[in-house]
This record gives sequence, structure tokens and C-alpha cells, in this order.
Amino acid sequence: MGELFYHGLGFVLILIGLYGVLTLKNVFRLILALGIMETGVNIILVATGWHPGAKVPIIDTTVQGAGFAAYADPLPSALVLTAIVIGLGTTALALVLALLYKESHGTDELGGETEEEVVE
Amino acid sequence: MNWTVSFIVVPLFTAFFLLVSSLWMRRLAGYLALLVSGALGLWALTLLPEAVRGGTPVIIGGWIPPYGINLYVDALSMGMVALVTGMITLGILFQLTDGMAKRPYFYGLMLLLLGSLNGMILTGDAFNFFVFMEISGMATYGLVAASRNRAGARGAFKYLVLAGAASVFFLVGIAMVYRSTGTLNMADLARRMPLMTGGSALVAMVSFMIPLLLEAEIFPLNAWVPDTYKGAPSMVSGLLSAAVGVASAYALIRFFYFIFGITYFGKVVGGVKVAHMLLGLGILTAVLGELAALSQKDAKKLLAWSSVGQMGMVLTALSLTGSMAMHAALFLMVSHAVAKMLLFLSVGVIIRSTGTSNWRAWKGVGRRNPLLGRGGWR
Repeated sequence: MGELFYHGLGFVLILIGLYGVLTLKNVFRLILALGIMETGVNIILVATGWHPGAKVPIIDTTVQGAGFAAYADPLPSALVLTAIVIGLGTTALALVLALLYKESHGTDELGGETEEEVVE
Repeated sequence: MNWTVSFIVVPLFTAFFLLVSSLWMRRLAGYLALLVSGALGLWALTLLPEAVRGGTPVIIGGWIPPYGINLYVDALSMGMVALVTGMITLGILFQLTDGMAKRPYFYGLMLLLLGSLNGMILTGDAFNFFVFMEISGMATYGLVAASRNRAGARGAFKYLVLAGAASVFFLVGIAMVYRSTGTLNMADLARRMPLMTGGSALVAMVSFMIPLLLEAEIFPLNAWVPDTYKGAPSMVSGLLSAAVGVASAYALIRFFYFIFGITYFGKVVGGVKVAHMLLGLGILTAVLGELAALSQKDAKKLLAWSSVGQMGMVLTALSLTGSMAMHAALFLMVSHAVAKMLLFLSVGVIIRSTGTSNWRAWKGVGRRNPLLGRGGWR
């Protein structure tokens, strides 16, 4: 399987997640859809640094010049680690807000709010 | 050693210190936050004349720019830092007079917002920009939900879902430019942009634009505006347009003018220039935003839609592509930030004294409290 497969896979996951974000009403399902989008973009990022037959990027002094081409690029993996941590934080915060929503509205479905209230 | 990095580091450290110290000192938290952001704001003003003379990259940790992350200081970025820091200082000052003054975590979130917005403005690295954008997002969700009522929870959750989905596209853009150019440094990216073919550069540009346009409240992406502005405390609504929206508009300038440049900006897609599409979006946002503002009964929603309209004007000016147009956009951004922040603060005080956010029920406020009545004048 070439790298195009992984790019395509990631893109399909992003679109599935986006469809969920735009159509779902349940707060917990919305958070799941966000998670699917994040996974999709992480796959794309990892595939950016990889090519078929790439070696693990642990490089010693014997590697010179064109020899680097045989290894995967480690930088996108580092970016993905950061993105995963940010995704974890966002998901945790989203779950807290979803709980707050459910407690204050008595339902976990969005939409249909017409009440007037005053916020200072 | 250059101390510019303190604009990011000091607020972040103070924010975490405030959260920990809330165990033993509750009263002083607000004053400490005011001291930190006020001092940083004054310092940014004193650095401004030097920045006007010329831009300088600031190297961090001894890594030379294309490899390490650097900051970039010029008149534009230092001016934006001064503006954002000033607005947040004003917000903290307002909060000290309010009932929420005894919540240290609130000031922690304010300083988190300050540090991350300064990072967004100063950074010279595209991925670093993404990280700061996410941090500022988290601080904003927390601040919006801080009013702890139904509207606050709803507004914060909607904003989180939409901003989270949009920021995924920013990462797609990062993957695309990194694959074609092999760099994430903004100055280096601008130099290597010709390595990208026209089509993929356009897709990358649109991917970068989606979260920035969403936070700058531009038309197809501003569905979160009424709920979030209504649910947030008035001071936070003011910051949403005066600090977060303005920082995003500044980032639009950075990406359009400095990375993709006028060449890609003027590209023709399906018979229409990209700049003309943005012009259309800007005009549509301005007209729809101001029309929606006219029919609002709720003062906060009215100001929210007016803020949308103003950001549409800023985008309209930006998409005219020229140095005069950019001056106009910057002037509009600064005056919009200051005016909207002060209007939201006045509305907050009026709502506190009358108990309603319906402006038609505010009859006689000026008679009962003449000073407050004057506050509504612009």
C-alpha cells in the first residue's frame, strides 16, 4: 500500500467526522465526531513523513548525505504527538462542558432553546 | 538575551501559579493578574518605537531560524501585542469590580488567554501558531462557560465543537505545506512557496483560512456568534471581539500577505479571483451582520452582530490587496477593538444595575445614574 492510501484514509475519516459535526444533535456523539476528525488528520500527518520501505529514523554517525533518504522523516511524528496531546485536552474540556450542558438543560440534545435569560 | 519571550512566558507561568495558589490566597489573585498584564502592556508600548524602526527575528534556545522556532518582532506584531494586552488589562480591571472577583481560576484563564494570544501574534512558526491557537481556544471556552448558567454552557459547547472541527483543517494545511516545501518556519515558507503547484497552494491556503475566518466571525462560519456572545459574561464577550477576533484578523494578514503573497492571493479559481471571493464574503458579512444587529432586542446579541459586521468590513478592506487597504484594515481593527470592548463593559454595568439585557427596557437608566448614562455614548 502506497502513501496515497493513508492520505486517502485520513481524508475519508475527516469527512466522516465533519458530517457528524454538522448533522448530529447529541453532545456526546458530537465529541466522538470531533475525535474521528482528529484521528484522520493525525493519519495524514504521519503519512506525510513516511514513504514505502522507510526505516525507523534512529540515525548514527555512519549515515551520510543521500543515506538519509532511506529513513522516515521524524518531524511529522513529533507534530502528531503534540496534536494528540492537544486533542486529549480538548476532549476532556468538551466532556466537562457536555456534562455542564446536560445538567443545566436536562437533556443531551442540542437545539430548540428559546428561553430568555439574563447574563451579566 | 532578548526578553521578548516574556510576553508569552510570564502570563503562562502566572496563570498556573494563580491556579495553584488559589488554595491559600484568594483575595490577591486579581491584583497579581492586573499587575502582570498591566506591566506587560506598558512594556509593549515602550518597545513600540524601537519595533517601528525595523523588524527583528528573535532566536529561542540557540536554534537558528529555519530549524528552531523563532519569534518575529516588528511594528505590526508589537502594536497588536500592546492592543491585546491593553484590552485584557481593561477586562481584569473590570472584573475586579465585579461579583466574580473572588474566583482565582477566572484570572488564571484571563492570563492564559493573554499568553496564548501574544504567542499567536509573535510566533514565526506555523505549527507553533497552531498550538497557541488551541491554547487560546481552551482559555476562551473556559471563560465563556464561567457564568455557570444555561446560556454559558450552550455557547461554550457550540464554540468548542465548531472551533475544534475548524482547527483540524489548519493541521491539514500544515501537512500540505510541509510535504511540498519541507519547512514550517513562516519566513522560510514564504521563500519556498514557488515549490508548491498552484492548485495545492490554494487548497493549503483555504485550509489555513477556515479556523481563522471562523474566529474572525466571517459569514459562512459565524453560526456560533449569537449563542456564545449571549452566554458569556459581558467582559468576555468584549474580549471575544476585541482580543480573539482581532488576533485572528492579524493572523489572516500574516498568512495572506506574508506567506502566500499577492501572487497566490490573485490566483483565478473557476473564473473568480481568490481576492474577489474574499471581497464578496467580507461585504456579505458586513451587510448581513449589521442587518441582523438592527433587529435584536437583546443588547449583547446586538453588539455581537455589530461586531460581525465590523469584522466583515475589516476583511473587505484586507481583500483589496494594497498597502493603503492594509492601513485601512488595521485602523478599523484597532478602533473596533477599543470601541467594542468599552461598549460591552458599559452593557455589562447596565445589565447589572437594571437586571435585564433587553435594551428597550433600559428606559431611565441615564436619569437614575447620569454617569452610567454617558457610558452608552460613543
